[in-house]
Amino acid sequence: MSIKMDNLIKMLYREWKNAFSQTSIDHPQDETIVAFLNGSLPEADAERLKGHLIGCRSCAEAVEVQLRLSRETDLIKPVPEELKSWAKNLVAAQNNTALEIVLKLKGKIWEVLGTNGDILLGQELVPALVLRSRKRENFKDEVTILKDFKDIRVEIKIENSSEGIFDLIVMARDKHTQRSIKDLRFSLIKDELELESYSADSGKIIFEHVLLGSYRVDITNLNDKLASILIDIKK
Amino acid sequence: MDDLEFARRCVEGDKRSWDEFVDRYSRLIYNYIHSTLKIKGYSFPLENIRDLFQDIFLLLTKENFKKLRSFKGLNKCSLASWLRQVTVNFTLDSIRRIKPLVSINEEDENGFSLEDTLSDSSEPLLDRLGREEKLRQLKDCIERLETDDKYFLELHLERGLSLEELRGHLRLSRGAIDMRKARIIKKLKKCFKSKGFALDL
Repeated sequence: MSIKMDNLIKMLYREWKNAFSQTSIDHPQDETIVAFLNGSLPEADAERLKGHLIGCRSCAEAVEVQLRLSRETDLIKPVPEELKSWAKNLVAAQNNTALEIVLKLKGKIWEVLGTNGDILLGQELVPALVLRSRKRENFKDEVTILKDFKDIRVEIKIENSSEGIFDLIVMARDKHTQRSIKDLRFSLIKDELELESYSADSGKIIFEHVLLGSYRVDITNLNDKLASILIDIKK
Repeated sequence: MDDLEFARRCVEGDKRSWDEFVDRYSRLIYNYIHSTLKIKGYSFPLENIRDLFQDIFLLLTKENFKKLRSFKGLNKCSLASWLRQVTVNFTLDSIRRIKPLVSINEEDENGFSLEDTLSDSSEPLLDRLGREEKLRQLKDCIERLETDDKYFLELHLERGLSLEELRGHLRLSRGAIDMRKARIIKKLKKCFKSKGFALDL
């Protein structure tokens, strides 16, 4: 085939493409393009994606680079150590250890099987290990656990509601001033599914009538996640 | 631990997992920034590459790991492949942002500007209309091609990927690729002919 023919078709294709209006401005997910390049995208999705790539310069350019990259698989350039340290510090240790709570409900008695927070015992806050050494793991009707995160102090109270059902009272305050924080959002999550989510200017929220099981509570402000609580309630 | 579980631990703030994430993938991200720039013919100062590296990590972590949370591992997509795509996309976006705009008045080496071309009225109107009609008819032949054929033209002619480079992506032998191209040309020639254009190229 001649170069002239290639050039003519290229010119016509460009002309056609310039007049071709992309009806969808929704770009495919990164994973969709990767699956397409790997050949693991279902056929119907692949056909749809090809149609998008014909009309979308930026996505087509990304595919082009990926196809050229596959020949250049060497990763020989070392990353400067200070860049790696910087990236690691994006997630500060103190900010990101979730509060973990494992409890067992026996009738109306809560048994603390484990937690990395401090448990409220009268007016005193004690770590779970101290509690165990004092043989005081059992609580009637309710148990309150606290943990300090980077900026906030989280207090969580777990109360019996009726058999096999409990209420979760979650409170977050400024760690230093103990004042309530505005614009906080509390989300109750199970198996990555958000069950309930509320914003609370008072810094306090109650999730009522929760069934036994494993949950996560995320506390976020407008920009960041401030705390995560992992709760596992066994019977 | 699979990739999805590993990513989940990172976004939930597990410091040890995040450190491992940085150790495992920072080299990949850093090198793919370099490779993408090289493929696109850009030579960035090291300082800018460091900025890009940091911007990609900020993208992954900001708004409570919104971007990293979007990784679902669907259709056997690995975390490494996904990060490669994220890196390529982000680097290309950065290139687009810094690309200088072409001035409509800027003259080329022959003393012509884009403005001259756009406002060129030297061609008689009827000739111009005739040419546009012919062009419209020829473009219609492109329109009639199947999506697969248009996609082939996009990669080969528009994006400049060689037939050899396309072989792996289209999962065809070199012979089959040649035949595919010949078949598209044949279809187009037939269509051109039906519209009254004989080509002997």
